[in-house]
Amino acid sequence: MKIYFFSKKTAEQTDVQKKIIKFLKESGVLVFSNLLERTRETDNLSFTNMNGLIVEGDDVVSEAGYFVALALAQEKQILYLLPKGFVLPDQLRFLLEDKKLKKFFHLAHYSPKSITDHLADFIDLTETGELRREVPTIKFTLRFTPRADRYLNWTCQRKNLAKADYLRKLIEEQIISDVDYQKFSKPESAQKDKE
Amino acid sequence: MKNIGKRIALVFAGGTVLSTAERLVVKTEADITPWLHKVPEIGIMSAIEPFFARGEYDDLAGPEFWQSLTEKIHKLLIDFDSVVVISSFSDVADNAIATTFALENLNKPVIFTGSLLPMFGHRSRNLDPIGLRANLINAMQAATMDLPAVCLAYGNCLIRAVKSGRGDVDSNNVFTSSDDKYLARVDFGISRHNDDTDEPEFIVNLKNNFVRNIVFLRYTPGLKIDIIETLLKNSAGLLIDNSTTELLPSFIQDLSLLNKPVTICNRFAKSVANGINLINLHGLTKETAYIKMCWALGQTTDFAELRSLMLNDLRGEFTSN
Repeated sequence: MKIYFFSKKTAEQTDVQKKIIKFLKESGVLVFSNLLERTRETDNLSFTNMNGLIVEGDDVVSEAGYFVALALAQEKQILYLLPKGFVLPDQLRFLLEDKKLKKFFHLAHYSPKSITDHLADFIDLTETGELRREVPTIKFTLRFTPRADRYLNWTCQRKNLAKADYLRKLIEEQIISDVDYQKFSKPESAQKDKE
Repeated sequence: MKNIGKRIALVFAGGTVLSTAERLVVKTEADITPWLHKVPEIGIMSAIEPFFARGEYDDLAGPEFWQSLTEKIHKLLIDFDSVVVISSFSDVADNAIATTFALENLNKPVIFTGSLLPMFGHRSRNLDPIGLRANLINAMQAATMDLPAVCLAYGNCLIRAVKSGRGDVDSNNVFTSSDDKYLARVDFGISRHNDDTDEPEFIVNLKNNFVRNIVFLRYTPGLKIDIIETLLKNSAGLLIDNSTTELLPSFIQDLSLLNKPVTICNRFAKSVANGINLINLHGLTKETAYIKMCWALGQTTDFAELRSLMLNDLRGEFTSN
């Protein structure tokens, strides 16, 4: 997947810009950007070859308007990232209300902590056409025995995962592999299976 | 974000088919507003004002249309920073070439673009992703640049109109430059190339008289002068393209006896035909040579002046000067 990332060019990349590029690259995305040097491999490509556009910043230069317009003309997904507390420029506000264009234009207000969540969602959306990733919002207390806790510490350290992430992953895998639950959660397909 | 300072006039002259699925085209002036609602993204970039020149299926074309179109563009250049013309694919290059000659001392960008549909709508290739919307966005962006020239914006390049030629319709670039020089490339943004556009210091002059009765022939061995004489009876002049075949000396002799101006056009090599009425032209595309002759004969009927107009590089049209 190829994504064009547009942000204000300064003498040195900001922490946010670095974080966005790093996250996209680590997610397997081929990143093109006004902040990055062109390479021989990418020299024959153009914006038409991109799968999506990410714009970051509250003071992006006028060229961002061109990229947003071009992406909309070519029906590409756009993630417009603004720092929390900043408002969308007037010229783009209508995009959130236009029935057709709002399917492609996604506005997100980010904090340094939340920015990767927005990026992960956008990659999902661009790749599959739908948002698959769910944000864990249900909170409850779970008590473990000291032995189970020791095991969790041990295995999570080896896997370089937080304990909560490890447990969420286990349950996600269990959901996918549980045939009965799949039938239960998709009654129509379950019905067809029976037939 | 918007180039607030830039005001762009958007002229409608056909070529408004947005996609294979979209039926709304600009046939009359009343269609412009609903059509613009279909492409709201162009409003993100600059302040635009629409103008009507010709409907999607109008027959108006050639010298008559060039005169009305260039008059309109000339007026618009007074009040606007640039002009973008959406034109039918069938004659967009001709219209742009004619505009180049009609506007002397051009000091602002005049960008022609348009849809490839419906001309190639029957093709199996889906032209929608590289269609009018993207061309128009690129044209609008080019119109905000300091580019005093008449250009074509199609696919991923910006070409000086007088050097344009039809390319492969199955590639992204349906127009190519005759000398491989492009005013700009569209990749990630529009990258301006070094070029020979004039410094915009002058007032734009309108010189838009075009004659409409020039005979344009491609020379083939065996072509007889009596056929040409018949064709020339009601014509102002003859343009003969001999890019692929050398003219026979006896045929040149016959041409020199005609009482009408004859331009011998060879894109690759200069002919050496002698005669008071003969003009040996090379280094121009045949489309540009034809329109330049229509224009030059609209400026003068004097053979010497005509020769001077035809042989001098007036608008950067020569590829080998």
